[in-house]
Amino acid sequence: MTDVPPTLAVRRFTLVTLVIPAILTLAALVVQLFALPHVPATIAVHWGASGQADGFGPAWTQIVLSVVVGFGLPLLFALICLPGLRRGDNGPTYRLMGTIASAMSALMAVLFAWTIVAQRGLEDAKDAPSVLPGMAWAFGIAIVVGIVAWFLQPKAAPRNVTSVPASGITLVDGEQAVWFGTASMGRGATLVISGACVVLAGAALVVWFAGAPAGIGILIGVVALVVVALALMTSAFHVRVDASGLAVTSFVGFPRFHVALSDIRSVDVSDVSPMGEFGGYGIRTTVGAFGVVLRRGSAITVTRASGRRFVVTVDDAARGGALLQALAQRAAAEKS
Amino acid sequence: MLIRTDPASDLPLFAQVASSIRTDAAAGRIRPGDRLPAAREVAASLGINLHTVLRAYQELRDEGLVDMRRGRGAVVTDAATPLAELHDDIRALATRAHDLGLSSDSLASIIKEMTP
Repeated sequence: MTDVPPTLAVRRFTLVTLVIPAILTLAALVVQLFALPHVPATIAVHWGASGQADGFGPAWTQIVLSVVVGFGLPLLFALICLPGLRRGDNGPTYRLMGTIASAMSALMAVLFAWTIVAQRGLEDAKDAPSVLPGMAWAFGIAIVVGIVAWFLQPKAAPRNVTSVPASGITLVDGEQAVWFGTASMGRGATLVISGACVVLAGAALVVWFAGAPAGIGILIGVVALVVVALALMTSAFHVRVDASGLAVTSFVGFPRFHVALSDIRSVDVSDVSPMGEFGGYGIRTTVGAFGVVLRRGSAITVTRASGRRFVVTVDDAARGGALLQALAQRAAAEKS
Repeated sequence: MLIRTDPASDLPLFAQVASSIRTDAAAGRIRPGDRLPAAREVAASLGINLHTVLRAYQELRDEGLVDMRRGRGAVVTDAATPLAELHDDIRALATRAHDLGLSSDSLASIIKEMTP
């Protein structure tokens, strides 16, 4: 395992997530302010798939937007990841989040600056040049910045400092036990996702009854159905620990995941940060780990025989984990 | 919710299941409105008869701790709240009795006799 002092990881993460994006955003801002007097009051702000300008807005909105997004997005990344890093957590996902923050801010800085610079001297924004060269530059520079950001950060094995071996339950010979827990989303996430589902379903109905072409109506209807179904399938899980192992089953019956007792090397209980460790919420795969991580907080972490980890965020994880550990230990003892 | 059964224990299996659930209610780990797992699932996990689990659920219903409705399963009632409030007192009493060498059975029978 590569052991890196957490302070270095925190400093470098701060560099690529806050300092580099701030410099890029400021640079883009200076370029935009210098170019602003030379562009029409209304400029092209959106281009169609062919590269032709098709959306227009006041020039100053671009500058406001680049300030809000340019400083806001990296700040959001830092707020999500820094608490975990500062307590000593680390891993490739944290490194990737820092890389994305830098690369995204480079992409936006170049695009925002190009949007204004490329429209200098125009009489009418309708004559705005194709966006494609700007896109090419933006992606190219974003990739370079991303690579630099990745290598500026130290390599580190996944680590969660709150992780402790599960213990506390001892089974007597012949004793049987089962533990039931529930993995569900936080209140905020539930509200946001159900809100989004309602809006999407509403939009699908409106489109359908407003007499849009049947193709579009069906397309939006299918998208709405799929999104609502996915939301339902991944919003809450039953978690069960018994002699068959660890079972994680969606409230609607599918998807379901199972880890057999014989496949368990060790069981830990930890405080998980889904964004920092998995790059997001829900059913996630990351380097060396699979997670059903619906909220931040207590989780059962199983290290499987292959060394891969299986993580599920669940209430009362300490007792569920303790029982799983006791059952796995007994199964291993009976086998040998 | 943790349910443990030990075939070697003097208590019948259904009483052990009921007691596990009661303990969780007393500890505030299950709350009014929570649903107990399906009896079939509990029976399969513990390798015991479905009717043993159902008998445990019926005992809890007779105590008023759960409400059984067709199609909704067994739902924990408001009776779980006073049980959770007594949790610390019960734990203190049980610990003290244990320290003084009093068996839990005799403690239980004393409590039964002293209940007005």
